[in-house]
Amino acid sequence: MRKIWFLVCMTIGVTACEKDDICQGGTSETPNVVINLYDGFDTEQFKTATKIAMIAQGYTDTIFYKNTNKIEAPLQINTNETQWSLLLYIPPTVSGNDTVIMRNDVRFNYNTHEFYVSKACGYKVDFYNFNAQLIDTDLATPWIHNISNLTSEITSDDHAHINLYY
Amino acid sequence: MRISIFIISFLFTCSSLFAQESLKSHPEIYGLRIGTDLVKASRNLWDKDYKGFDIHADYRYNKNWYIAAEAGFEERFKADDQLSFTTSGMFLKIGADRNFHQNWLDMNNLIYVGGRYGLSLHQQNLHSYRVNTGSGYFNEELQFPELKSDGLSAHWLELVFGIKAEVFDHLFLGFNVRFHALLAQKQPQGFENLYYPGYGQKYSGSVGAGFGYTISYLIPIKKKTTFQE
Repeated sequence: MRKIWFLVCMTIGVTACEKDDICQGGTSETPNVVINLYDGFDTEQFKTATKIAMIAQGYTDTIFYKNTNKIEAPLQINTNETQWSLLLYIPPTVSGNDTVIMRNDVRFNYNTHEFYVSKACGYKVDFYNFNAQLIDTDLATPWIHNISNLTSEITSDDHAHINLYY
Repeated sequence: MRISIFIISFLFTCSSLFAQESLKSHPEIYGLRIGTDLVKASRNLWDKDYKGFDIHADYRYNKNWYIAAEAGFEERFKADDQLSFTTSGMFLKIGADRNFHQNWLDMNNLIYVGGRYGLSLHQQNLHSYRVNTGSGYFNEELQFPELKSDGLSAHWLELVFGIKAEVFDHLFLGFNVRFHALLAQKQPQGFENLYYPGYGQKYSGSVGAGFGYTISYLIPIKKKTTFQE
């Protein structure tokens, strides 16, 4: 009797106490648009930007990236379109006396698919029919030559979804 | 384990007070015992997110075996970091208990091990959830769908260890520990069962544990006389 008790307690103890309150992140998170930065003239070459600022249309918070050739842009999940302003900072050593800020806008169109992951992680959104395009504007200081879509589905942050040439 | 040893020794101590003669006839009472879970009942008072009651009954089949059943209703609201929901519904459990306690004289206590098959019929309402976006830039992660899923069900097996002590004539207080393993369930579409009436919260594995304090009353139906040395 005592042995059975012990066995049952051990079995339950080992199997029942998995902690499910912690979300592991990674693939359970809604992915961002991953953008690789390439040289606009030598399109095989990564090109590192000193500083890039990103602001979504209709919002005021700014995301900064420094000394990187990869940036990530979140997408809105309650609508099928998100527009980001990408601002490139060119430091004085390159541009002359002052920091020059150049700007381009990129529009992302997509369909959302929302689904349940787990109690700890909540829900996740994947994006389908994804398409990115440069907005033709009469901005005085464009810096992006071209962008190319690498995929129409965004389900993880693991690989780039867009190549940006500048 | 220590608790049960304590209770066993306690029962034996009490029993020895009445042990006067070595050979005497004592009637064993057969009947229907009806009771409720005190934890569930009292929780209605101290937990505003919980409503529920539970009735259990057992019928003595022979010297050591009891046929047992439980039925009840539960409604549970829960707000986690990522989601909040309400589950409500009814449950039914049927099974048997085997008494391992050798009673002294006319005592009528139980130390038992039992098994149950459990069934719940419930509905779940998802009030809110959070979309895991990592960045939170757009601050639109929290959604309020009020998604109602009806016709949900679950089946499980339970292992019960417990005691029932007769504190007054025909009135029993009990304590039990139960381990349950989920067999099958009907999940809400695009979501999952997070709570089952009669079973409790769902954890990542398909096993769980619980305990209860019970109060019950024995309705005597017949007496069988046995001789005890």
